[in-house]
Amino acid sequence: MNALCRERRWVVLGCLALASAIAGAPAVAEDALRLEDLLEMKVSSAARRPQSPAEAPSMVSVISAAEIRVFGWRNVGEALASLNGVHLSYDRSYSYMGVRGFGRPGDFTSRVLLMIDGHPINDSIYDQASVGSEFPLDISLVDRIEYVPGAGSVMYGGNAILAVVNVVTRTGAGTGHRLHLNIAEGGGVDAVGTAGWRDSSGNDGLLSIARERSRGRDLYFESYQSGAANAWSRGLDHEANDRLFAQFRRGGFAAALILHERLKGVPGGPFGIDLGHPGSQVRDRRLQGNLRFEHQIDPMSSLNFSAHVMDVRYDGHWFYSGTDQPDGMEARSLGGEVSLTSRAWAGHTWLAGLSLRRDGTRRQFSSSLNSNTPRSAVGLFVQDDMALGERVTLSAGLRFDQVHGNGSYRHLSPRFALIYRPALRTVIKAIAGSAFRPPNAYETDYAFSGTNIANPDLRSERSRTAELGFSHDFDAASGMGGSLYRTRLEDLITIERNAGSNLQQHHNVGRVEAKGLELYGRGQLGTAIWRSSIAWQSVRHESGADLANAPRHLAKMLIDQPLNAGLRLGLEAYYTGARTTDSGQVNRTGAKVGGHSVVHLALGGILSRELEWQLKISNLFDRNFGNVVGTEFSNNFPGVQQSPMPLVIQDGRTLSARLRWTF
Amino acid sequence: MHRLMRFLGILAAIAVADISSASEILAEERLKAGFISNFVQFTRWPGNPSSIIVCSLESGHEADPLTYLKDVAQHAPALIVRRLKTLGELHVCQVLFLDSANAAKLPAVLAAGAKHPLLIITEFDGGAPLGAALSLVATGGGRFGFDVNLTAIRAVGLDINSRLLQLARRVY
Repeated sequence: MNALCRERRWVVLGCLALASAIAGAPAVAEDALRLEDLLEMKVSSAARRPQSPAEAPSMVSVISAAEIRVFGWRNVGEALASLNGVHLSYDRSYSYMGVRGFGRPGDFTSRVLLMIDGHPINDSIYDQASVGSEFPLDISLVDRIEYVPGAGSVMYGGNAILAVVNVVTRTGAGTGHRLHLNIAEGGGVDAVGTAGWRDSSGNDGLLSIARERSRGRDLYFESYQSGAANAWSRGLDHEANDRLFAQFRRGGFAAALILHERLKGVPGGPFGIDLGHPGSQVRDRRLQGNLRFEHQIDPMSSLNFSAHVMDVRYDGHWFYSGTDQPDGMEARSLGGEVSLTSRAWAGHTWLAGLSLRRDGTRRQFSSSLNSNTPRSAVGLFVQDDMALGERVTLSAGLRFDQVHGNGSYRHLSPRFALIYRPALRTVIKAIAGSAFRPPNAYETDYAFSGTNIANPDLRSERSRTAELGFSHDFDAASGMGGSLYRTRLEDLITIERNAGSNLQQHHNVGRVEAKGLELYGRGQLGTAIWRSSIAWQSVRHESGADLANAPRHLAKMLIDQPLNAGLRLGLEAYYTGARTTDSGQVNRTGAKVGGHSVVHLALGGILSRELEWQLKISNLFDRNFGNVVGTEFSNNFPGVQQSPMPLVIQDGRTLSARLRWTF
Repeated sequence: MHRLMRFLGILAAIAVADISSASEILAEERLKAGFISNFVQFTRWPGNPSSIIVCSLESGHEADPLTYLKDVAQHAPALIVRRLKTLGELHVCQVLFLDSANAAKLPAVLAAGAKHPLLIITEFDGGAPLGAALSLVATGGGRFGFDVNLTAIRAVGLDINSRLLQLARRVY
């Protein structure tokens, strides 16, 4: 069955095992190929290393470009929110991704490793995984999104505590020339122009420029009605994004350049700023270059090389009593990885690699802070996927990391996965692994006169995850599966107010346990394709307190229904269960917030050969709901008198329209 | 830091110096050729022709799955590959493979092939709901599946084996 697929494989970034790249000889298939076998086969490509989700030592999910189009998702975060166990929170400055109930307000999603084509994009100050509109690429450039929940440090080192997300970009040949225009209520206009090509010698190029502007809405914050504070936040929800993406691929070589600048107004008055001051805004800039090369040493072995250079900057302006208090950071990093994969021993797929990263600049600055703590990291990793008979595979991996900056951190991250296939379409996996995250520069270094103090003595967060997962496909279109998991995270880092001094500081606050059950189903009903999932989850501190923003239930239903005359309907329904607000102390459960549902509807069609349209109504039933946010929005902030606002309201019913011209 | 940069620089130099030809394209194109061959095997044309002409539109791309048909084809019927310069030549074909670069031509292909027993296979997702007989679909993780439009197939006088319907991701 592997006749066609004997070329190299790659690592599905997401799949920790990914790295289980498998080498093989290019071959001419002499025998006729059965259709059933073709459906099981994978395509190899130099820039990526795919591994079948069934083979991966993790419960992998993949979102395709086709789904992104049908449901009209505008950014990677909206797409990820369709997955089992994922919930998104937006504080109207940044989006935060919650995984398996673990969604610390204000944590910048630092416990998820986010990658583009296998290159990390988390910065080195906040470790931010920018999943919302702050993601550096326009969604139209995304070929697929791989989501790998669970401990990923065995392959990727720090950050990969809760999950690894890899966003795979399109090829030039698969994209062609396109223009997209999107308009939305709230004064939103996006335009994207993309040119893609592949010439006869196999040179594949892609160039895309995107510009996005949104006036945003005037928002009414009921929480502020008390006291003298205004209840309205007017003209502050504006957003602007400018993006450039250039990519070149040839054979096993790929190079990409990413430029992104985002400017966002700050409604809602976090950190006690003047509620209605139009000068308060955050600006984020990224310049990143990625390089990848795969070299086939012999038919059974390949060498993979990747490198990235990243320059990320943030400039914030925060107005207090009409006076600007600027706040910012600069983070410059250079990283690379070399790995060798081999199938030279029958029944084994070996992977061994070395990862290096130098965060040469980690500078934070404000009127009372100017710190710079460069950091170096080295990782050594090895993994072996052993076939134990025809139906069982044992994947065993180990990684050693040493991180040296303003502190030194050493960690060993093992992972074992037993993968059992009792039948062709059934997979059972038992997975155990550990992961870590060293404290980031924001947590160790950030200080602000009168409000925040640094904590250079923080320890790394360490987690251990055990998981039992299964999946069964009834046929090509339908299947079901689930996962039972438990993660214990030691030394959780969170910001708290020091007793006595009233100053805020990041602390290690003990152990947290996250456990839960996820189930999903997918199938076809008439001509409609559906997928549905439900998750029961609990995240508790060792004191017995529930962690903030950990929904007890998540239920999702997505339906893709083709209609007559080329119309296509995409319906999404999401239920987010009860969760609690951030009390400011991890050992104190916050106030309970009831569950809410939201439904989105997208209808698309074709105007002419080249022109496609889509109308989308987000929040179809105009439900009024809020997302749990951090204590920066509440009266916990020292020295600031305002009413607590543990939730930030989200958009009501919003109509948007999209045109796509391909030529 | 300097040592690190030098190390990465050397690796980059090795990488750039050793750019291989587009070998990774082979896998994908061969895989698609395998699907096309199977689709032909499972389709019945009026009069059971002994050879089937599989056509594609010129796109300038060397990465053409039809190039690999001879590698993966089964014994009968014989497959003959032709590349068309215009849609006016479509009447000679039993199969048209419409690649992604020519996706925008689908409505014109449908119009030109409307009354002709032509099996239209699209390389891209979304062709089947628009009237193509079969669409290859990237199903994630580097795999491919396919959708079938049974109404369109029967409308032009073709018939397909139910095996295709069982294995399809979606049937219209």
